[in-house]
Order: sequence, then C-alpha cells, then structure tokens
Amino acid sequence: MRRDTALKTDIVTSVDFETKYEVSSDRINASKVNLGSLVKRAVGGSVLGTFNLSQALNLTSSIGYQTPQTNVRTFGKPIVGIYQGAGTLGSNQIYPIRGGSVTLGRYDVVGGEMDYGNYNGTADQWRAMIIDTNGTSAQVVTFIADWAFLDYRTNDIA
Amino acid sequence: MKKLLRYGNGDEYIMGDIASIEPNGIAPVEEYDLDGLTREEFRKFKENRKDKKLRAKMKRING
Repeated sequence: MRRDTALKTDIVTSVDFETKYEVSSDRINASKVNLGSLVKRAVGGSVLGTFNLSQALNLTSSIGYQTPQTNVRTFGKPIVGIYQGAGTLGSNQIYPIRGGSVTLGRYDVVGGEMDYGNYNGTADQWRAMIIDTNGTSAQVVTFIADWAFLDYRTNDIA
Repeated sequence: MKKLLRYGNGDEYIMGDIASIEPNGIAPVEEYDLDGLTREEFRKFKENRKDKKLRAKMKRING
C-alpha cells in the first residue's frame, strides 16, 4: 500500500485480510471496489383488500432502515404484483401484466415510484391506486411487495 | 409509523408495513399506533388480529 498522494511506484498489488476481519474507516478511496452482496432482497409480504368501502384502493410500499439507522436514505427497486382474489396465481394477475382470468379493462392501476407529496426523505417507496371499474364490490385483491435494495448499512430493514 | 386503521363498517387495514393497502378517499374512524409492538408481536398480530393481549398494547391515536 502507499499514500494516495505518492507516486505510483512499487504498489502492493493485493492485500488479503482475514475473512472475518472488519475494517472501519471514516473514508476509503478506491478506484475499484467489488461488493459481493450489496444488493439484497427484503420480503414485504402480502396484504388483502376489498372494494367494499371505496371503488379505489391505495397500494403503498416503502422500505427504510430500522432504529438506530432511520435517518439513512434507502434506495431500491420494488418487486410488486397485484392479483384478483386471495393468492398469487399467475392467471389472476392484474398488475403489471394481466393474467388470462382477469377481464380486460376491469381494473385501472395508476401510480408508481416516489410520490413527491409523500416522500419522507429516507424511505424508498412505491405508491399506486387501483380502481375497480365495476364500482364498489366485495371483490378481493392481493397486493404483494418485496424490495431489491442497496444494503450499505447491513442493519435491519423494514 | 405503523398504524391500524379501522373503518366504519368494521374493516381494518394495517398501514406502514412494507406492503399496505387502504380504501382511497375514505377516512378511518379509529387509528391505533402499532409501533409499540415488537417485531415478533407485530408478526403475531398480523396472523391473528383478534389477539386481546396485543390489542391491549396498541395505543389509540385518533377517533
């Protein structure tokens, strides 16, 4: 190793640390970093809703770090699906791709990532609305959301 | 903040979990704070919303 202001001579090409060795530093400068497990998947689970009360349902999903890292900004991509009825059968899928058992035009889904009026500055989010064009009904829909996210803090995610 | 929203017809929706769903344009009649539950208690509550012990721990914040 050498000082970052030193001339590029006699550089040690590689230094192996003990695999369980943790390095903590205020700042690291590197021209190339290999982060093997930077992107992880968080399981959000599924929720059910009906159109009993309203012709439209809000579907929201967000991911943020838990205490004491709640002020750390998260960055991810939502993995979402909406299904007609309870469960995640492919033929009952409403969004993003319609399955064979879903009547074309029955539902409208509008929305997407990052709501300007709701973003809290830290939690990455997906927010949308589904409308049953039949009006209010007892129809059940399933919303499922996971997140692929950049894990640069490794503390609990929720 | 994780919340339980209770609507006029008795329907309840959990907000603030990674995935959540709620009626659009309808205001809940009661809201409860779920942040007082531990992660394990929250998981149990999602499986059985009628659990009296867990319900007793929920703080009513509105309605």
